[in-house]
Amino acid sequence: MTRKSLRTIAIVAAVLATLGSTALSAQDRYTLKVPNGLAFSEFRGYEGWQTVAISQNEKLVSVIVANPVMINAYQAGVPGNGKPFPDGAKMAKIHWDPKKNQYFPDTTVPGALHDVDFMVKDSKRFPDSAGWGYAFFRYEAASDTFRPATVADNPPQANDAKCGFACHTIVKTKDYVFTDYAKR
Amino acid sequence: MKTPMIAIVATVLLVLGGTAISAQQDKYTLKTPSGVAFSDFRGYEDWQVVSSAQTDEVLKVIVANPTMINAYKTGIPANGKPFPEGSKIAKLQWKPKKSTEAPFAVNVPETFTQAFFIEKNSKRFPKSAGWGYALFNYDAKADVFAADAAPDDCGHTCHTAVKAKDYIFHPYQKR
Repeated sequence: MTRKSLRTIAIVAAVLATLGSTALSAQDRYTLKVPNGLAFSEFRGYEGWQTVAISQNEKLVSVIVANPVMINAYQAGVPGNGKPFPDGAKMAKIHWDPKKNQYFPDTTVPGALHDVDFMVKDSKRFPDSAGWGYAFFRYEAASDTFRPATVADNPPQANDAKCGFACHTIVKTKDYVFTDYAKR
Repeated sequence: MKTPMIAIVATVLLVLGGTAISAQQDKYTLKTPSGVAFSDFRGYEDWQVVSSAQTDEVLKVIVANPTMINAYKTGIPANGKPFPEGSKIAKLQWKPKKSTEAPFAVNVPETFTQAFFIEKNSKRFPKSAGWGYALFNYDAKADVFAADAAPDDCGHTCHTAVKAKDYIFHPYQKR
């Protein structure tokens, strides 16, 4: 093999290595985990979950979705009937920055994704927080990556699955879930 | 002649049955003035989220059937391709209220008010680029839906503003 062809191989290999690492840099969000807390992968498929309701204020637009276990519970009357959500119930609140609709100036629509918050019911795993585990992942639009939220985020998130519990006790009588299933 | 017990029981059951039926409207028997059926959109209650929108008076969630969600995920309509036949999308609207429970100011749905629907069927709706439009209003007090009196083509007139996006305003929102 000539010196020239060896050099060509080396250049091609270097180019391929660069391309490869670029492709790999697209983040696999499902490898993320809150330290000592919940993993993003525990909520796999949330992108396709059914809508519970929507909420909005000046800072954020949100859609609340839930997995089939939780939607079925809502439709059976939980928590209004006094019964708790069953183990395996999971919900997600997806937050976006608001932006003005370009066609209808009085209408606000979702802008950049801001964060995704999760709750899961697992009585054995989370006995100290009424069976609910909480997780909060911040999305950074500039780098197109998620990261576990920290105490510097709002609401602050410590390294456990209890960040939401203190706040959600306001709705203890609704099994700690704020959002009602909106009639449609 | 003494009325047989069975006739009395039958009458009571008929009355009870009639009450139960009248209390629960079957919304899927409704049709718009031009004949688009509510039942074309059966199951919309469970469709996946496309996006949301709100004004001072209305909270809206936009959901779509699996055909349309799959089309969005392949890049339609930004890739220049139209949504396929059988695509269906719904805009569900609520009157907002201030949450009395949340520890911060936030609007949440109070009363459900309207369901807007669009479906792609080029053979049925050739004059409106293949899309058929329907609007059903919900009366929360009576718990009944009714077809809106407006002609169905008003939807198309408005949606021509986004002809380049196959007449659909809302993109599939990243999540």
